[in-house]
Amino acid sequence: MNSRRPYRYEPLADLSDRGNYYLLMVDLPHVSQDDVHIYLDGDTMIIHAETTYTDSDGGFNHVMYNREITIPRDADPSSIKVSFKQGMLKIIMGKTTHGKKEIPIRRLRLKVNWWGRQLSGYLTWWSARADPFSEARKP
Amino acid sequence: MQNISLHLQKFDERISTLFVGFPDAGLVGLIASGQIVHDQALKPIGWMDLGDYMPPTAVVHSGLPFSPVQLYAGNGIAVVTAEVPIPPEASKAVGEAIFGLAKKISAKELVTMGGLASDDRYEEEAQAMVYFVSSDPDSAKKLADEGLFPLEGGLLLGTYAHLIMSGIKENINVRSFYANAYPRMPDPGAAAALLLVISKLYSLKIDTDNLIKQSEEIRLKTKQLMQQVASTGKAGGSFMYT
Repeated sequence: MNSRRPYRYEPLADLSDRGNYYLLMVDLPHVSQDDVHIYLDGDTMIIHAETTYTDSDGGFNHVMYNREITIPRDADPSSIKVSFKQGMLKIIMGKTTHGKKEIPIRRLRLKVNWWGRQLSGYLTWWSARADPFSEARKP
Repeated sequence: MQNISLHLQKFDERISTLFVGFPDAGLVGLIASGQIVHDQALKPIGWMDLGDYMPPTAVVHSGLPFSPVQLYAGNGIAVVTAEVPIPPEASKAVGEAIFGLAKKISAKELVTMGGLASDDRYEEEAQAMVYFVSSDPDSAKKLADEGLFPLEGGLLLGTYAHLIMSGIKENINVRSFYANAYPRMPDPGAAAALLLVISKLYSLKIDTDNLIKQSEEIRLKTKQLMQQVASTGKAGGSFMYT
């Protein structure tokens, strides 16, 4: 690697839905916590880190990481928690409940029953109308 | 024509166990096999040509080109390792070639090493769990007696599955070990957990502490390969594909 100019990487990232929260892992090898900067711009999370290190062969390295990640629409930015260990950035984002509506099943069934009653009433009325003498034939 | 060919140098050593480690979830197979080759100071004994299954590919180390699938041997063991994901359409033919190699060198046992993609691994602070599958019920019982956990359920696909089924058919013991691993990131910690089991079972001296120390360097060096593996779908899901 060239020591004068940093070697640029897009770090590996893995976003997973953990049910009631999102988990975002970003791999930032050789970086310490103080080298990491996280920004939030609308629904985009920007992760930037830069560091220098000496590898096992004694070579000097200068690396720069940059990654932009679109966070899910229902992620709650106010609930973000960040931790960092051995070059692994861990971001936990809670979920909002905005825009979610529960569809009541019972109400749907009542609606069907109501239409059923209307149809039944209409058929009774229509059959009586189709035979105007039905009343006269009654004993 | 999609012929796979093995190019073996002459070697006289008697091989008891043939280890196989291919890139998969967490690159566990690749990292583990590389560590065995390094720590046991194994010598290259040949390579595998994937024929028409793969476009012409050469892996370059220190200015020298190598086949992506390499064979090593020494200390009574042999290792087959790949530095590229094996194309799914080649997995059976690669399995047949490896099983043929095992018979040719009269290996008594075949051991595959791989990762078991698990999102939970991101949240585990403890050492990765290691599971086994064995083609031989007696061997499975022995592993369980050693305190290892059998893989309770799942679906094996690809080269490792072919090797296990061939082991049943041809009465050669094939053991598969899987460590819980990051699905889409290199996981040297998971490889270290698997190697602890391998070193104990096969009395191999493997420096897993050094592997953990070099974890960040390995993660950076294998980043590009991990991206390739993840894009071929071999890294994760509800089944294992190696």
